[in-house]
Amino acid sequence: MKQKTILLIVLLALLEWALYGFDFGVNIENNSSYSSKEGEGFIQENTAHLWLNLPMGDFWVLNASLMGSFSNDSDKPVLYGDIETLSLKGTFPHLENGANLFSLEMGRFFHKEFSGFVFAHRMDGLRMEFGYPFSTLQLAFGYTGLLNKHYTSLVMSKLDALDDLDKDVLFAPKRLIGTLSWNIPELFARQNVNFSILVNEDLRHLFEDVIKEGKEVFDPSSGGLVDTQYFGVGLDGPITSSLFYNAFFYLGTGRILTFVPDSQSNTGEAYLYKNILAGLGGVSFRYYLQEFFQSVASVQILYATGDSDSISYIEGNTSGGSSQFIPVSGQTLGTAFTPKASNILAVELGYSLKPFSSAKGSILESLQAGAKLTPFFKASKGAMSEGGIDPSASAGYVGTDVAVYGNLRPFSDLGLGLALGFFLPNGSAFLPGKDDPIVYGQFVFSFSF
Amino acid sequence: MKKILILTILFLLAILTFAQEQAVLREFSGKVEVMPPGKNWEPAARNLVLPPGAVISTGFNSFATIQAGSATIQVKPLTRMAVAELVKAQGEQKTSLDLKVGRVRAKVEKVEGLEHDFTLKSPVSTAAVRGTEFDFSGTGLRVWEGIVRYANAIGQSRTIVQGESSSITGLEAPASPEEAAVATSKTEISTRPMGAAEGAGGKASLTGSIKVTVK
Repeated sequence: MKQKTILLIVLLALLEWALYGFDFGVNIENNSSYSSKEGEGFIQENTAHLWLNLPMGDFWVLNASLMGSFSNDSDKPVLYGDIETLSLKGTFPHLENGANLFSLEMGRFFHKEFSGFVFAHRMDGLRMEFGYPFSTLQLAFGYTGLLNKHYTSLVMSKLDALDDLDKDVLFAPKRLIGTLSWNIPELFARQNVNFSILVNEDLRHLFEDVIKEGKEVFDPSSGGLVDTQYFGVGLDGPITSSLFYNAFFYLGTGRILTFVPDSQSNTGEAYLYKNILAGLGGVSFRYYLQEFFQSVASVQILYATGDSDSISYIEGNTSGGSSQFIPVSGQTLGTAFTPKASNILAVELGYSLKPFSSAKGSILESLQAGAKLTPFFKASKGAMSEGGIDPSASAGYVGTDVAVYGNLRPFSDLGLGLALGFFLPNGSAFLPGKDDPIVYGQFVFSFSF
Repeated sequence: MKKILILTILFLLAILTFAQEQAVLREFSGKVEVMPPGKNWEPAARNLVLPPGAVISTGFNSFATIQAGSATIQVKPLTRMAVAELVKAQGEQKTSLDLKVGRVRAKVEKVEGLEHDFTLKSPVSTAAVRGTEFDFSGTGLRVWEGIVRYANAIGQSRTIVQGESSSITGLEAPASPEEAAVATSKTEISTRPMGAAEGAGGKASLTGSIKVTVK
């Protein structure tokens, strides 16, 4: 009797959900890549996503996505999975006089700051948005320590890097992320203004031992905390109806553990936390020529400060404060050579077109073909995020990444992508024997049902 | 006698002015029906006057062109629209149409000395127009001529100029013109639905209204 009652309740609940209508599906992605970079080679990953979008009443919606992967990458298990997203989002509009909108999202969700170069990642937490006619304010907090590390890119400290290599560690670095964003659309002359403050607090010391400040003996098997803050401002908008731009700047502050000479130390050296004062800036222009095969020409310039006395990207500062910009996650430039936005000056020139865009109904109509040319420079002497770079080499040309790619979506539920990249290094910027050209190829197949 | 003549002329002018405020079905093709207020559906007829409260409906491959003052509205196939308000007073003309479902192209000509406040409403949207030409489907906007101020239910807005497009999803702010350009010039490989992994809104975000104001 009790079972029947429970079954009835479950059926009624399902019926109620069905009345509101929910959406679900499965997506399978095959990603095969080859890189001649040391330690990489041929990698094939197959990932399945099971997603659900479930409205719950007039104001709430549940978004959930599970993912599982099968991989031949020796750095990862053969099979692994994670909850990709699991969030409950409420949207509460007030449409009377003084209209505004409040939305609240709880759970695991994807979050990014406006540029995408500092933080663009999933996290577990809370996000609130206050929408007003002339601006939108967003406040978000999240924790990254419950994410499967194989789906993350959050390496900022030496301990993060060690955990990344340790097969017994399952989860991503334990970091608390807080962001406050203010977006003002069309503040002047159709130009949008963004302000963002992002705080990254390393919570590792609450769970495990880390090197404490004052330790006088160098310990290569451990590390300290990296706490950072970012204060950003960005502008974007149209210049003409076909030409768009965006420009942004982030001031990076924080602290990083450094093993430096210390007169108060018995050994003459000690671990000390040193301040970070760094910067990241970018500007890009995109020109859309829809009439000519839906062409897009673009140029993107990215500059991030480095630290001239750093000997490695991870906790590499050796003297005084650190001026190396350290993003929390974020996107990278390049195809074969993909350094993070740190000690870098990159100029990416891109062009793409859809050669069969006028062949309406053709299977090739959606084909987008493009090419990118990205010369990379070191902003200063010191380390970059990519291995093989000689930190003692002074600022200057590092190499050029050339890539061609093609994307095709013959049907709405089938996507195909091919990218070929080649990096031609400048030998003097690399350590001896580490200056081989890099060849990269990638094929992506995406299918949904 | 003179007074009577002046009053008669004024009366005739008032009648003429009133006549100009009517929405008239100028052209149509295919299956087009009209439901005058309080009456049943009847087949469309050329130069049929559409009084406030009248509803026009187009079938498959059917079109209709309505003239309302300085505004010309092309009603696309599978569209249902009602005439809500037609007023002219003190150099200002006000036209309000309810787009129940479907798509229209509106062209509002500028007339010297006359301000035409043209409004298109739908269950999820409102478009208020002065002097431009655009396609409007409630959630999507394409501007062919002039400048359009495009706003969502809470008044978050963007200026969309000639040749640009924008769209509004539920209560989201209007998409920037570049987002619309990217949508046509870029091919996404991933077949995952937009927002499936990024916590997209649900039913709650599908209600609300959109307002388009042309300057």
